[in-house]
Amino acid sequence: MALSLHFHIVQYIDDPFLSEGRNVAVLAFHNGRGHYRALGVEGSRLIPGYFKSLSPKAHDSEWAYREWISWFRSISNIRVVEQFDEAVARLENNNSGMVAASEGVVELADGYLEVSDAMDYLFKRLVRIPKISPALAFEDRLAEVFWQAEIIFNENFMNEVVEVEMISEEDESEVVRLEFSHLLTGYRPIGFNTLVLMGATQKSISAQARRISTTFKNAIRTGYLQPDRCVLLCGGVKEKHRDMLAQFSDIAVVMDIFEKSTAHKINRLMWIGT
Amino acid sequence: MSANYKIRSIRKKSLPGVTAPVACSLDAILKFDSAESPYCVYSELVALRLAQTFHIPVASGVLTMTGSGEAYASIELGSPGLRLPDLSPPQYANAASHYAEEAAALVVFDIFIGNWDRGSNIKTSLVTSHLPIFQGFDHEHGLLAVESEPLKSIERLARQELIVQNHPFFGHISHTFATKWAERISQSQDEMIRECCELKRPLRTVTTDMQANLANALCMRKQVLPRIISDNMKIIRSWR
Repeated sequence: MALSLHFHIVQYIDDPFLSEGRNVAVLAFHNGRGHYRALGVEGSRLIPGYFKSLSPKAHDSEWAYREWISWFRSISNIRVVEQFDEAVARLENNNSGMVAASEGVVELADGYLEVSDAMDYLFKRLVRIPKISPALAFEDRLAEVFWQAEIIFNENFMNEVVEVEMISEEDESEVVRLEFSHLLTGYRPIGFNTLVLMGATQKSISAQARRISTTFKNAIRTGYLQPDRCVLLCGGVKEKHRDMLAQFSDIAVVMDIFEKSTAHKINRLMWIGT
Repeated sequence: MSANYKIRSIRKKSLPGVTAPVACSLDAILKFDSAESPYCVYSELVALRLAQTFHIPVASGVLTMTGSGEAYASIELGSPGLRLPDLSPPQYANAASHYAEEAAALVVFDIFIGNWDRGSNIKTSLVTSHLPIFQGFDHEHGLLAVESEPLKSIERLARQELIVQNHPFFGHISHTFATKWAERISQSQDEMIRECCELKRPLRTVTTDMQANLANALCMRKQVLPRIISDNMKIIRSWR
């Protein structure tokens, strides 16, 4: 017996004047409930890097895309076809952002008797999965690690680039500026800096490493941080990087964010200081 | 910490300039009067002015001039290139729970202006905890468009009648918050409502007389608003 499924393709249109869309989701109503498949959604897990890879605007719209994912999930809780049709009609009226661009009917047989299989099939056929750049993969993983470490819930955590200015008590004209990619302030602060190793040239890695090393040394010299609270976060550490990373042995803790234990290490470090 | 140094400042790294000004453009939806909705521009503008007066969470907008005359630009909510989705029916309860005060305010405001078409015209952030957003939009079916003719709309608004029979947040808001917002609107001065409704000039097909009559109707309606809410609390608090 064949399965007939009426589906809608949702596109992300970055620029309403160009009207060039990228398929990002498939919606359908079948057997009394809504169904969806969307870019970056794998079960209960969301990988925002796929959507962020679509364009610079999409990169900056990650939070809004998360709201859309929540909306797609709500569509699967719709049990009334009129409500589903109205939701799709609203998407059809959009001319940018998320747009219901087209619809179709697919007749499936031979192994595609379940609607979830049919949705998987349509998603695979209609939505091209973009490549995630190493920098983006690093960014996504870092966000995940901070979330798992629960440090983002700490009110003293600054989840952005921070500059700390230290002045000498003897000579107030002597200012030392410390730049961190992320910072936990408080009684025993933790300064983080990131070093993306994947996809970067050796020259660029060396230059970044020198800058970070100087920051950590100054943080220790001025007494702002202790070496065990200077954290270098890197990813994709290979044997060829070992010599370069050796320069941090006395001044920082080096963590590979792709290692499972990293979130736990950060969490422990956070609690040691409180 | 070493005795030789002290912290002078900890701040996020920003662009040069005290306010870091940058040029930008905002996405907006332009709304015009049409045969189907002949008082759309006026109704949208006055609904915004009333909402801002009472601090009801509605989307910002602005009256703007286009080649076809004056239009209302409703500013989009979201990120550049990706506006937020309209609320879907399965999200109603969650949104009303996340934003209990705002949801009650919106229900009471819709009853006040006779907006019977709230539907999914709400933008919220439900998973972005650091960026709370809750805004209603689209008020073209309230005020002068409660009925098919503006005079009938004004007459109906002046009566002690609920008008709004369905609302996404009916059944999801608290009695306390609804009463609080009804009292708040009720206690406002007539002058403030007149200033919101009377533009001192015609706006497209809406004459100054129509504006004054609407203001009178709303002044009467605000006085009985707590009564309308309490008399209809059974409907407002029941899920449909």
